[in-house]
Amino acid sequence: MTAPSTRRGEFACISAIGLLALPFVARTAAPGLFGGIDPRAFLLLACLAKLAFEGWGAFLAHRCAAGFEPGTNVRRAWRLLSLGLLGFFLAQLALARYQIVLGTQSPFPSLADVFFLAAYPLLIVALACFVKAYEDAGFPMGTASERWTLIGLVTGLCLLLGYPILAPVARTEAPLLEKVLNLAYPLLDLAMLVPTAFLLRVTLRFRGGNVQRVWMALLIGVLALAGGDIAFACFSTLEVAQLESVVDALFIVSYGCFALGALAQEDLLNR
Amino acid sequence: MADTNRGSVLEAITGVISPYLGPGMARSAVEAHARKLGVDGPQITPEQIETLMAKIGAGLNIFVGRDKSSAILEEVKRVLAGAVRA
Repeated sequence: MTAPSTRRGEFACISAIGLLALPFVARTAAPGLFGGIDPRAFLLLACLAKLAFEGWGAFLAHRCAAGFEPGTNVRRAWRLLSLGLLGFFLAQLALARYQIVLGTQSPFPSLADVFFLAAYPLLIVALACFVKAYEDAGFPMGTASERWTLIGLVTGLCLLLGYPILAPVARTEAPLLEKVLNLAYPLLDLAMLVPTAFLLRVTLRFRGGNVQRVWMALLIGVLALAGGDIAFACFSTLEVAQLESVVDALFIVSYGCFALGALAQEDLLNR
Repeated sequence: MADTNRGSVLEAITGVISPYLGPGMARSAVEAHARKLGVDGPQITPEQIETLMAKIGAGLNIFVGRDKSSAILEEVKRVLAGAVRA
């Protein structure tokens, strides 16, 4: 039998996610406490944290892909996840010029949105490939009617929660491209949440197994990404300033969890 | 190898893969594969055990990769050999 995991790397990663997201959560909860701190320090911290998690996640996911057989859906899925995270990394790198070098908020839209928009379809197809891999391996993905019910439920729930938040975004006087992007990101998240719901349904049944570590991390990453995009749409279009730190915290948690999931998968492959 | 008790074989396989899939999923995956293979009597043949392990291995491949999956199946074989001797 293989040796039990020390999980030291994963605990370190979880601690890093918590420590890096904490200042942004605290800044939202008690903005007065941080009045004396230069806002550029938060810009710098958020940018570096996101870059680190995105870059590390892309690297680890690439290594995970190499651990699976060529031509399989699971290898394809990890490869696409790696490329998606690389897209986020390149987008963040484009924003770094403003956030690190100039110390200002980055413009929106910008070159970064080209990379962000390219990354989402990669992540959606990656999740769909994971669903296919589960199905091919004989894991229970439900009957056709159960699947349609789940798709209907996820879509309905997203519309129910998303409409009151996004409708005011659509009605603002913001430039067209800005409005389109602010609606596009949450809609892409919705497309991502459908395969996520399938994976979550199966993942919950892995309770007590090492496989669940990988999947819970990846799925929390997707959910935090969706939350971050919705918060960003409100922050940038409706100019709800308090949401700036919420956006940063959610994206740090999201990218951190993607890296954590890849780290747990690598541990499963190699230990 | 002679036919073996179905329950103890499925239990042994479940025990080895539980740390990976979790006890609940491990049990239901092993039972489901056994049912699909028509292993529903009190005994299981060596051929049925081989086929069952190949199915379980294919399922594990997507989580732990082929090398690790083979190592887990080797562990199952060792446990089963021990169980038969006992």
